[in-house]
Amino acid sequence: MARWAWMLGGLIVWAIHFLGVYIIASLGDVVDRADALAWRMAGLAFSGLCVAVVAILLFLSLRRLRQGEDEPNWRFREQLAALGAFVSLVSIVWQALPTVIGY
Amino acid sequence: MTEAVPGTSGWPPPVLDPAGPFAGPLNTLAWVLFGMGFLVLVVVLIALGVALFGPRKWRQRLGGETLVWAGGLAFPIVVLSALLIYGLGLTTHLTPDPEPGEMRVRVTGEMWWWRVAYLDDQGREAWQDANEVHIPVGSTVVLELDSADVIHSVWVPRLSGKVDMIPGRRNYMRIQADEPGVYGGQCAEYCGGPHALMGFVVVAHEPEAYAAWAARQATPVQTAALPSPGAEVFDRAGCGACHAVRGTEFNGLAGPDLSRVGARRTIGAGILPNNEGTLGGWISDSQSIKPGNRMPAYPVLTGQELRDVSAWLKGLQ
Amino acid sequence: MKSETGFDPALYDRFPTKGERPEGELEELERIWCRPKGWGWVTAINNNFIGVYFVGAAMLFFCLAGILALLIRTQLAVPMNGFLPQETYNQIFTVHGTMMMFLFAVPAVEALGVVLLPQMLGARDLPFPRLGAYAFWAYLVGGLAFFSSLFFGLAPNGGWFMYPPLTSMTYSPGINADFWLLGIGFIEISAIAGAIEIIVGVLRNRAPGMTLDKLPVFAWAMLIFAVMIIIAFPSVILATTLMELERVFGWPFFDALKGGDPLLWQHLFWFFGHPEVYIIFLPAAGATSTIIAVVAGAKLVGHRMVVLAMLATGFISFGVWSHHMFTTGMPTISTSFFSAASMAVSIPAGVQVFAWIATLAAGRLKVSTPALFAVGGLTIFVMGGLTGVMVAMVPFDWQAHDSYFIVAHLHYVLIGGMVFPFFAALYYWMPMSSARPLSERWGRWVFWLMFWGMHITFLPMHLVGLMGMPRRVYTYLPDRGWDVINLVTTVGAFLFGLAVLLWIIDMARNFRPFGDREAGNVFGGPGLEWIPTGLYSVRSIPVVKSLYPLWDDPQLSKDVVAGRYFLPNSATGERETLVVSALNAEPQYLQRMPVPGVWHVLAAVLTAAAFLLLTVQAYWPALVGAVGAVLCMMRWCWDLDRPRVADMVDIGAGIMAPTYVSGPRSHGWWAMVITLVVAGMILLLNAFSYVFLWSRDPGAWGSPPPMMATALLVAGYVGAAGLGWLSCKALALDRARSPVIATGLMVLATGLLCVVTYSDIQAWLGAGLRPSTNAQGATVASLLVWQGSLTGITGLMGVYALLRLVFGHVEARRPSTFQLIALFLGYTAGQGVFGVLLTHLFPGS
Repeated sequence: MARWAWMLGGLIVWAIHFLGVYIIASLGDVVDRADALAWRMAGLAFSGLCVAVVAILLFLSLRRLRQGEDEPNWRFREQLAALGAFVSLVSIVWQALPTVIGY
Repeated sequence: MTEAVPGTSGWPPPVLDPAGPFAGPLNTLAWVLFGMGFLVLVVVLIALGVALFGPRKWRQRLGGETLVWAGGLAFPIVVLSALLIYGLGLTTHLTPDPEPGEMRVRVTGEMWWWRVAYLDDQGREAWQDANEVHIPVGSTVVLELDSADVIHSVWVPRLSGKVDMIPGRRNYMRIQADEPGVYGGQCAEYCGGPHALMGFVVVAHEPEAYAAWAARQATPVQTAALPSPGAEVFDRAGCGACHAVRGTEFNGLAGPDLSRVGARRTIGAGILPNNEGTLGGWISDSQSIKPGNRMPAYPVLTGQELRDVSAWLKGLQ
Repeated sequence: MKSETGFDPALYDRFPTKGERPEGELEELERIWCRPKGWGWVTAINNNFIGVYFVGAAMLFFCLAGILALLIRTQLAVPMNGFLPQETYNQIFTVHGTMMMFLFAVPAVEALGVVLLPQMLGARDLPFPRLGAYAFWAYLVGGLAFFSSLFFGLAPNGGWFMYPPLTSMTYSPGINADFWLLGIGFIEISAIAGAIEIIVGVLRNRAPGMTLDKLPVFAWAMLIFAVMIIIAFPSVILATTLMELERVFGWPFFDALKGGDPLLWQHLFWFFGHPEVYIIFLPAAGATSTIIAVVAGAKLVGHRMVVLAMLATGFISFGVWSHHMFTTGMPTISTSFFSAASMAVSIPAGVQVFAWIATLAAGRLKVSTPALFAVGGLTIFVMGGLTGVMVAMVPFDWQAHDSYFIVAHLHYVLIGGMVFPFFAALYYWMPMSSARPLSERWGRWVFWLMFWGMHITFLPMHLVGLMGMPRRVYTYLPDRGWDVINLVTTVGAFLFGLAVLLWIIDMARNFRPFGDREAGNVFGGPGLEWIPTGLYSVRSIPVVKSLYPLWDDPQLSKDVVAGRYFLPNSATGERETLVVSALNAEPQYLQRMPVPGVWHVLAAVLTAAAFLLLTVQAYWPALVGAVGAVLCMMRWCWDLDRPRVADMVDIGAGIMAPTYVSGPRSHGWWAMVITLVVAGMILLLNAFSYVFLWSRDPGAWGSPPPMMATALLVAGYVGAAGLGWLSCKALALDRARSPVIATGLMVLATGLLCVVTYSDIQAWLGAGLRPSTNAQGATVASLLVWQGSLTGITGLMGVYALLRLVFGHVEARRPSTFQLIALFLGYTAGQGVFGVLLTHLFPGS
């Protein structure tokens, strides 16, 4: 399980981020307005956190790729982890944009 | 049918022929997107062409992961980032918060026609009409969109993108026309039965002409007060149970308000031109023209009766 | 190298073994895996049969739905056409969309997986052959019944998306809508059954040594496909259930007058409906990746990027559902999130397209029909993807939405992304199942007619959409300027139809399945599926050392056929296959497999009958059917967890493996966990509905039952789960009375669960809750219905446990049955606790 989670780490963070910003905006919509400043900033802060996490994942998997490991097919899984973190990074940044310009 | 029914139609494609500030940017966006799409398609096809038929050396250059990085990741990320920023900004720009003092018209989707109510400054209903929205040129009109039954969607491509009418929710749509004219519209969300035949028009007048039109609407109907053979037929056939004619005892609410039906450009919700012949045909057998609509056929009416009632209705202007 | 399971990878060096295999081994395999005789073909469970039946049925539905498409196009060829009456047209377009999505696209790719995966992965069969057969029969019977509703004028007419309130009792009083709701809900259950089988099959029934980096790209695609089904399909099952409850009992989930919201349906439907598109696309893309590498004669460039792209698609496609709802008046910021995700999901698509192009450049294309379909599909898909990016832009979508522009877009995506690759796959893999390949000469005609037919049909639709033509119209007025385009479109559709007709004729000429001989590796593919096989699949199960085993080891095929690898014989004298670890495919144990039988077929037919009878409101016969189906299922399960044979057997080259494994390592446990994920998704989406409808009108929410009830119910649920756990512990003690005590505890646990669930319902009734009065009542009731259903199943499991005891099948050496019952029971109890806490504490009094 841990190996799967690591391999899919970036994408999992993407999913959490998506759910998070959607829920934050929906809560805002119920309580006040979806695009109220406070709720938008909360969403932005959450996005920032997720970007940081994915960036760290990307960095770690790249470092592990350089260092090597003692497991069969580790390289493949590590490459998936790095690529996944990269795609997630882009996607999360894109999804953070609405709190700044798309509300 | 000799005269054309004004509606969504023809050339140039209405989506690419905007007539107001809420459709103009969508047209620009559409062309940007077509350009982007065409460009990417050409790039892909050239790459594919080289991969399939190119000289050996070129193919070798393409046949590696670099192409996947460049074409599959870098290229889309750059293009899509730019598009996304443009698109998000545009979305925000086109959905401004409501401002006090904007003219409001409430449009309610019904199976399969549109109830139109003009609202006064306090948001109260001033008068009702159907299947036509009249607006003054050059100012923003807010449409309050309700549904009386199922989901419908308002689409006047030359003035704006579409917005759904959903039971239990009220949506808003802004339109503005820069030139006087008739702009065709249509229900875009499948609403069962004759959904295909649920059109309407937006009529834009110069501000003075609009004011005159509105003033006339606000006064009670004059011709209706006069007894006439047509009014008697209308009464006898029970039309008043569903239709209202302001200033008379006919006050049915189920169907379209007929107070000014003679002035409308179309009948049957945007499907037939409005004249005494089509009115008579519609009353006699609307079910063969628009199967499934909620108005029963009246085969019992004689030719003379149909002519009388049509003439009377056409006179309600 | 670290090992995942303790298996020593050095043992792989024993293969290929030297020398001849003993006489009679092959004959024994043939005898064990022989085909059922005569009418027995309905009892077949082997993927060689079921897979082919499955693809055949999917193509049948493709042709039927295609005929409907031609009727649609005939009606729209000229304005104000009287060819089809309005009502008939509305039924036909609804059934066309529904069949293409539910009865063709998903089952077709699932079928492709069933045919190919075991051979491709070097397994004897998929892990749950009877479940696969059940899924097929349920699908066939349900699908045919659904289609037949057209002939009686009873077909649904609310569009394939079935938006309420149009589909509510008020506006659709006939049983037409119920055909959709029950028929489709039922077929989704079949899809889920297939998905469970595919997930466990790909992860656990691979050839040893086939580590994740050597897993064929098509298997990756099927794995992701199946996981996505598990996450997405519960949503449509829940949605159809809620709608049916509203229609029959008047519980207001979608009725705005009583606190429901039509948008809830749209959220639930598209949470399934958009991933669905990628669910269809991924396996087809996996096939394209496979075929392009073969026809180009080069290894897939950027294999790991393609795999990652498919994984990323799997994730991101769950964040795009609301892009079908940009015009519903959602807050701008929310639409923007979905717009951004819709952009993001096109990146993985681009990666795959460029990987294919790079592969074509790296090799040299050898023109063949599969090659044409793969490359042609690629270009069509790119065009569909580009219009997809356009409609992902919210303002443009306001114009394009629900117009013919979208019709064009979705057909480009689905035909380029699924139909063309699927035809490529049919042509490419046909020689694996058939004694003769399909004709290449005819294939060219089929391809070019289909390719140009496709463009002539759908390219002009973009324009007519921009010209204002809305979707789902049974006719249009003559003075709209849409006449010529529609006529051209109709001509194109008939060209497409002609292509399919040619293909059918060629199938009749050349398709000869189930024979003793196959046409073989006509196109020179690298995968294990091209090793000559019998009904037992591969003669021996190879050790895989490469992603392209046949290309990298030309000897492999011969050695496998000579029986020089794992399992060259039947170690137990029964049908069996190897189970390996999920990451590194290290052999773990030998799985004993079932033989053909009639119970799963009867169960499928009776389940279908029960659903159909429910549709026509024959409640008592439906109940009889349901009871019969349950009995058949119990009988079918009876053969699971059979008496043990030799504990350890030689699986080749002296390597010993157990024949019975229980607990988290066993394939049964995996299947149960996946089933529980399905249940959990239904629960979560139910909870979402609850919170969503609360947010629509918080003021109308009433008080929950008292705190005391909350505490008691939670305690009761925890107690039931505890008893289930104790039962397993008692069995494991392995004393003389263990079976009796364990069974007693288990029956007690299920009984307690029933009592607690009943009290749960009573507590709410006591608090004055009535399901039909408002949205709170409806959603709480739906949570309770779900809890009650699972509790009912647990009750049946209690009865089953008791029967097992009576017939002497409960013993400490065979704990699987009890473990799985306890697992299910534990989940149900946990779900109960979740439901109680959610509905009692949120929003509180």
